Amino acid sequence: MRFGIVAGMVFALLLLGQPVPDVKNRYPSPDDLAVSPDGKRLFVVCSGTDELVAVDPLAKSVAGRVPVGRVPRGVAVSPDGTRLYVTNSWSDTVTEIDAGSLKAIRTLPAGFEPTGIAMDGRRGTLYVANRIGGDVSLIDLESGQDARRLPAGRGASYVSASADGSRVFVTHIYPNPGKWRAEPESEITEVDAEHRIVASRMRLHNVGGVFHLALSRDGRLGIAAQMRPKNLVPLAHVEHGWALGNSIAVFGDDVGGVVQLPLDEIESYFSLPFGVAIAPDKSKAYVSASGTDEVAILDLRRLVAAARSPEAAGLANDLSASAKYVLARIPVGRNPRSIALSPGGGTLYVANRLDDAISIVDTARGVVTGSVSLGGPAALTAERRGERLFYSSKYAWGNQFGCANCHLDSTFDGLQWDLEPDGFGIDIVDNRQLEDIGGTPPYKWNGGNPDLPTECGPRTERYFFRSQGFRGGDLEDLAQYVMSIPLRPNRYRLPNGDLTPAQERGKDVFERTRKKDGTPIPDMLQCFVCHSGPYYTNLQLTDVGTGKPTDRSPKIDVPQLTNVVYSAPYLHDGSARTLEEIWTVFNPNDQHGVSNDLTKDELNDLIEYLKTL
Amino acid sequence: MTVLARLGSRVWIAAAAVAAGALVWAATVDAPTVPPYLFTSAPRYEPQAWLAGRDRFPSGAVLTFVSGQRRRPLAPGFYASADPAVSFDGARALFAAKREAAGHWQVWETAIENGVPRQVSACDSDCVRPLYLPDGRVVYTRTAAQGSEIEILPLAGGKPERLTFVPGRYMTDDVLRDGRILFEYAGQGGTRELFTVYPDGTGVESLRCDHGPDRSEARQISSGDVIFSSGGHLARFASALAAQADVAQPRGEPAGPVAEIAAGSWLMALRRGPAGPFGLSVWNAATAQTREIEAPRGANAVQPALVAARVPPREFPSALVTTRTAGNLLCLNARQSKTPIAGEVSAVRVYTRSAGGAPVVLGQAAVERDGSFYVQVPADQPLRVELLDPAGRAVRAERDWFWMRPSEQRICVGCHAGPERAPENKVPEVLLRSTVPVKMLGDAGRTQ
Repeated sequence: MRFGIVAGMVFALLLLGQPVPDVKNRYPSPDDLAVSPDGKRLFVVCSGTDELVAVDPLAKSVAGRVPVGRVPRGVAVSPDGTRLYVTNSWSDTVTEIDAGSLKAIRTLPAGFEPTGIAMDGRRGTLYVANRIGGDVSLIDLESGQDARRLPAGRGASYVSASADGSRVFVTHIYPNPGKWRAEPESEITEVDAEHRIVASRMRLHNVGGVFHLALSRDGRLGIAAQMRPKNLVPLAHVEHGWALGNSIAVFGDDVGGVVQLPLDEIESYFSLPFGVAIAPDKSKAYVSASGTDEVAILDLRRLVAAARSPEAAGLANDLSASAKYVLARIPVGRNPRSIALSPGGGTLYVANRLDDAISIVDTARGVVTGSVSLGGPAALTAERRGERLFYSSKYAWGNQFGCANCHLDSTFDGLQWDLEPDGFGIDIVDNRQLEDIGGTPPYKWNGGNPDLPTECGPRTERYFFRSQGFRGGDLEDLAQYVMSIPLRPNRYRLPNGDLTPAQERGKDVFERTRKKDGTPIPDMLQCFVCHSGPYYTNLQLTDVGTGKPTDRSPKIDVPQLTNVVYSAPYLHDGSARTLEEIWTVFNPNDQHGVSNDLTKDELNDLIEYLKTL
Repeated sequence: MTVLARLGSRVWIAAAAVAAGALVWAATVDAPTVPPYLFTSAPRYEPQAWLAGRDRFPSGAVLTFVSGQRRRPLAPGFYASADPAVSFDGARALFAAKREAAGHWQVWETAIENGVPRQVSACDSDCVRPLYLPDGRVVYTRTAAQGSEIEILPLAGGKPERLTFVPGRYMTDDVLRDGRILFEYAGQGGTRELFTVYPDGTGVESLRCDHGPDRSEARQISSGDVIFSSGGHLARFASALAAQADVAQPRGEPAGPVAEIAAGSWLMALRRGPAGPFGLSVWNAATAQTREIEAPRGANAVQPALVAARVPPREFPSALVTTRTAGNLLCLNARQSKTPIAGEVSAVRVYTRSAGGAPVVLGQAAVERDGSFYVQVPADQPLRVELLDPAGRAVRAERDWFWMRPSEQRICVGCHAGPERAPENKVPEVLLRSTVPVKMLGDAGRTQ
């Protein structure tokens, strides 16, 4: 109870949007940026320092800073350039800022983990993608209310509005829930802005992880950055695009549907495509690769021709296709995230998150002409060095992927992988989340790795990267970073730390020692015996009857339950799509705790409690 | 080898004359703007002789180090020295050399400045074309009259390990930045094709799998492109392209390997006519101009190698369990191919090869509806896959043989799909049926 109260108080403070002290000793970590309509200002959200930074691109200097809420991730500029809107992903709010005075005006409510944001100026509506909520908030600027929620894809994260404001498109970073070991399915959610309804869900087959998207000014062409995971084929090697396909989804009237096109090459991959921008004259598009630290320049005429060609459907897995439309790759700073063009399209700005800087690219020449530092400590901590390694794809064969391609924004990817090096189709594993795992050894679902250096070092280079990986000091730094990944705020605890009646009842179920008929429950079948301690794990291996014939051992590492609500699917192989299925489908013999005497309502209570952990 | 023995000391004299001639010639030209380099000068250079089991330098050869106006034999005292490879720190060089005409070529290493050569290999046949690996080992080619093999050896010495397990003719070319060893393999008909293999012998495959024209003397440059000789010209493989592409090159007959001075500026062997000797020229692609910098009298100047530090390739972390005797091979869709398959595919048959070269059936397995199959095959033996129609007739047979190492886990997208084809993300039906491979381990062709 005391743990819940403290946590609730912490989250209540977060909800107030108060910046955490000691900002000057943190790294800015620019995540998103937007350009003012006159092109004279660049507005950059810095998720590391909880601020919006105004940049003078001509002087290449910082023009002002505005404290916002916790971990801001998105920024939008009103069409008239007078207002700025920043999503605060850990505060579940949007900060409205006067662009002239750089003063925060008001704080608007949003959903769980608001991330991307776009504005429909004509109707005075903000569209905010809520990552944990999996929906998009339609915030009415006149009333300041989160007036409507539309369901988007799981992990809804990025938004783009058409130039005429009639349509809004939303992407999401986790694939939508589906059958076990089925191809991952994602979508681009199209919103009819006039009627405020979902107009269509454009299917992205075999896609998991969709990031920024951009629309041409005439609204006829859209491009979204995406990944095509190869999680269903055994990861026996990396060459031939075996782990992930770094690609784009091209959609709109110009191509007559949705076409997936690769950005990778046979031996040189374009890892973790993230930011997208389309030139005003529709001649070129730009895509950042946040894993390989570069920006690709695409020829849109050739791109559309490829997307409309008879062989378009087969190009998604063709590593020689990008030569048809990629003109160049430009090296930029570390971990480039969002990109934005100047109003005329002559300059491209790139937010290099792990360099705390903005790259300025001359689009006519295709070269970086300058950089703007956003400040931050000059010295790198071990955690920061490790974070750079975590987000870099320069260790895997061909630079195909890094830790962050599967642990998206240091979380997970919602996928199950066939990683087993010794045989195919066995030991299928669900990707585990990384929040606050420092105290939860051993690692790996079978507990095979005693510590993070073992997990991230020899095992990773031998069976994932298939190339020289993290060693020595690099490995220590990486492990340090992984251990420092914090828990995201839990949205299900009351601000005062109390439990709701349902959560209280669920807690009683979680801690019960007798069945409803009074029969004692053996120790090892009581929830809180195995799921004990600060992380709700006893750090042991246990057979709870969920092993599959294709698993080499039925013993499973007891997983931590902190923030378990965010990390569906469940069980070691991801076969339970929901918490409820753990007991209703996968616990027929009460081997995974006694649950078969519980009613549907009692299981619901248990779930309500688990959501608070 | 016999011819060399007969030439005896006359070749020594010729080699000395070549070196002396180069020294005289050097004084007459402008100081080169290229960094220090090594090259091989040889009265006779027969780059394809190894395909017939003969010596590429039948009249001896001399490795020369050039730094500005300074030039000297890299390793005096050898009957022949060639095949230079510079260490990643630019301080040392590997090379192949033999003390006497009748002796065997061995791998040697020396410091480039003031070095005393140290013998690395102890081969009972010729060991040539050594290359540095980033993990402190050296890979080289062991040649003999009947064929050649690629081997690997710790620089400090030790037992060599074989990387090639199909009888044939191999020649090491380069170590790619991704850690793979690039080599030439002359298959049926003698056409050389570029292949790659990891330093533990796994993952052997054609670099582009296009069964194209003869390709040799390949080297990777800083852009990642692989530049090679093909049909008397240079050509390239680029990461973005599945097909061979042209490169800008001087008139005449250039020969690989090229040494990259800067982007678009290469030091290369070049001759004006097919019968003339090779000299070394600096080629500038931007100006389309060449400048000859080495033209030793009565000899060829070939095999340029810059003496400069460079970024080492990535190390390859091997996962092999060498005590095993078999590997697993999964094909996702045997029906997927760049070229048409001559019929319906319902089964796969795997062959090995007898000591005499005759195909020996290891076993046969069904191909699933989605084209997948999963088999276990013996390690370190020649392997070839053949697709069968419902009547048991072969509708597609691999042209070349390949091998798998002990415990190697290998997956192919299709039969002849090419490296540009990434897999479709789908659980192969064969793994839904069973995760146990069909065993084809050579026990009288019995299958399970």
